[in-house]
Amino acid sequence: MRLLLSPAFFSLYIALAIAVIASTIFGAIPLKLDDLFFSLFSDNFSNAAASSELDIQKLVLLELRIPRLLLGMTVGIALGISGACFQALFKNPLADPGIVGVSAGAATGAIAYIVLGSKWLFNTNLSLPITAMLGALMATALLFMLSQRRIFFWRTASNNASNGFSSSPTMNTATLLLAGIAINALFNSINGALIFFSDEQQLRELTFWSLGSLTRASNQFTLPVLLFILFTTAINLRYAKAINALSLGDNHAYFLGHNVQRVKGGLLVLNTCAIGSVVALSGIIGFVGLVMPHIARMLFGANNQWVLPASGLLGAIALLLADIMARTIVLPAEMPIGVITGLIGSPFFIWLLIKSEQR
Amino acid sequence: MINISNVTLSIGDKIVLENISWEIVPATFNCIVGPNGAGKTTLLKLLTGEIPSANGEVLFDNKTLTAYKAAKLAQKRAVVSQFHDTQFPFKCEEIIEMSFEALSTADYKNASQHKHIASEKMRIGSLLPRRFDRLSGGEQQRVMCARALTQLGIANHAYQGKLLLLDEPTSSMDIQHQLAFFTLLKELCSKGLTVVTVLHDLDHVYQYADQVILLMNGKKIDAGNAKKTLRQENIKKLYGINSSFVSLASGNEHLLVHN
Repeated sequence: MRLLLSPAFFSLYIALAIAVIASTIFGAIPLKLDDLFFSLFSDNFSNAAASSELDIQKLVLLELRIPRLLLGMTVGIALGISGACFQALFKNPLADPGIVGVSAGAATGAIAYIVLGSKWLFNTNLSLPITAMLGALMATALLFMLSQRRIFFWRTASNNASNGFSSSPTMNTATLLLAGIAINALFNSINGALIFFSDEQQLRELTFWSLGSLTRASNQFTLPVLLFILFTTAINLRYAKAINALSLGDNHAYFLGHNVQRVKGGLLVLNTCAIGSVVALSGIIGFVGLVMPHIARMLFGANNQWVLPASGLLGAIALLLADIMARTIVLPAEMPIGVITGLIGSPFFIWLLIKSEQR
Repeated sequence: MINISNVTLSIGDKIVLENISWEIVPATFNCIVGPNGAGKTTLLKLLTGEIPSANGEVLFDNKTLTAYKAAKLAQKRAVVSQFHDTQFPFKCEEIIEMSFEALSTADYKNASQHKHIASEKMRIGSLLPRRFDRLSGGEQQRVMCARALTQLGIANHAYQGKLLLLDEPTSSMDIQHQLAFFTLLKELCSKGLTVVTVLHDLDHVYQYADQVILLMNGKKIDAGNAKKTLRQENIKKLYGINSSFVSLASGNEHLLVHN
């Protein structure tokens, strides 16, 4: 945590500050920050016309821009940090929650709630994030079982359910991506079935999940969920050293004295819950969790004490910039943010794939 | 130090280890010897705790390995496994520093000193700032050995009750590094460290080991004092090759294998 104040992060903080200011100014109604700044401290503006315009600006700032800013930053931080942690835990730099199907699982949970659950279940503010988390957990459990098949093998072979784990339960890139395809296919077809049973109004709501967007920033249930996301992702930073050891292999982490089952299991559940909540709030925003940890590693090396916070900061910056593009390039309409991150992120993904083939 | 009694282990239908019993005495250099697929690595993994013993018992200081917390175990034993590739661009010093977490509070005070001495002993000073994944196999092995020595708290010279488990640690090293490493291990053994290693070069086993266990098809062929166990008929049985003992002018006796 002390590393967050390190001078090495200084340029990232400056970039983030610029992104924050830019994201407050730009939009369908451009804000004049200097006027706003003065108006916040002095109520007695003489000019009535100017004052009513300022009121609108104030309203836009407080009701639209700031909530959206907070949502965008939190989603970016969570996607960056969880992405870095997923990559380390699955020992594969391509293990992004989107690519391996965890985000799709979360979307299934959310869609199931919208189409079926809202009629039958308790209709509380937190129902949506909770069902999304459950969906995400199902996808992670599936991925985990696929990646650990050799542990399962040992257990069945020796009829022993104690804490053994095989020496190298790593998943090579091909297997990981195939597992991701399978999990994505499964949840996407469930989503398809659910959409088949949805009505007109639900349908419009559902397209939101497939493309990702920050338009729900002002919902009343957003704030507690944001705090939950920040809390769960911050826990990763405390376990950075264990994550380092786990990224070499479960056996290495065990040799070095880490409680593999507890730390790995705990981190997987925490990050999956964070991803579930992120998807509940903003839909599927792809590639941020894949790309940001890579840039962080280019800047700071592989040590997760640096990579995790740097990925979080980079994620926040990237998401704010993508959101500015999303809401300005097709004015007065708005492009879904997932389209922007996908357009920028997928070439990067292809480049990584080519690079990993060459190894 | 370690007691293995009547351990049998099978993977699927294949029996990998059959009714193995072996006792490892403190402050000795022990080698696991045998042809490919004999079960050497599996036996070592039983000792590290990576594989739980289904039948029979593996006792480390009279306690089963599962009774230890990972952190407690890491203060008493270090492991160098056979394969160590990483997808992430760690520097060598970062790899070694990962062992700091394992050190007991007494050892932790000298953490950077352990690292310094271990890298000096393994002659990897110049490799420390370089990326681990870009090193050659032998260099990677030396870094991993340095990490294990750091974890054992090499600067404190307190090796009593500590255990070092190695799986072919020198298979890719230059010959001078191999000999230097074995000489170092011998020295640490004389100070109380217990070493168990899988080793292929029979002459190295003959030169450095105190005790050996010979494995073939998962069965124990023989075990005991290295000089007495590495007999011509045992080597013939294991590998189907001949061997001779050659005395050098220095008086050292070497084991030579040939057709």
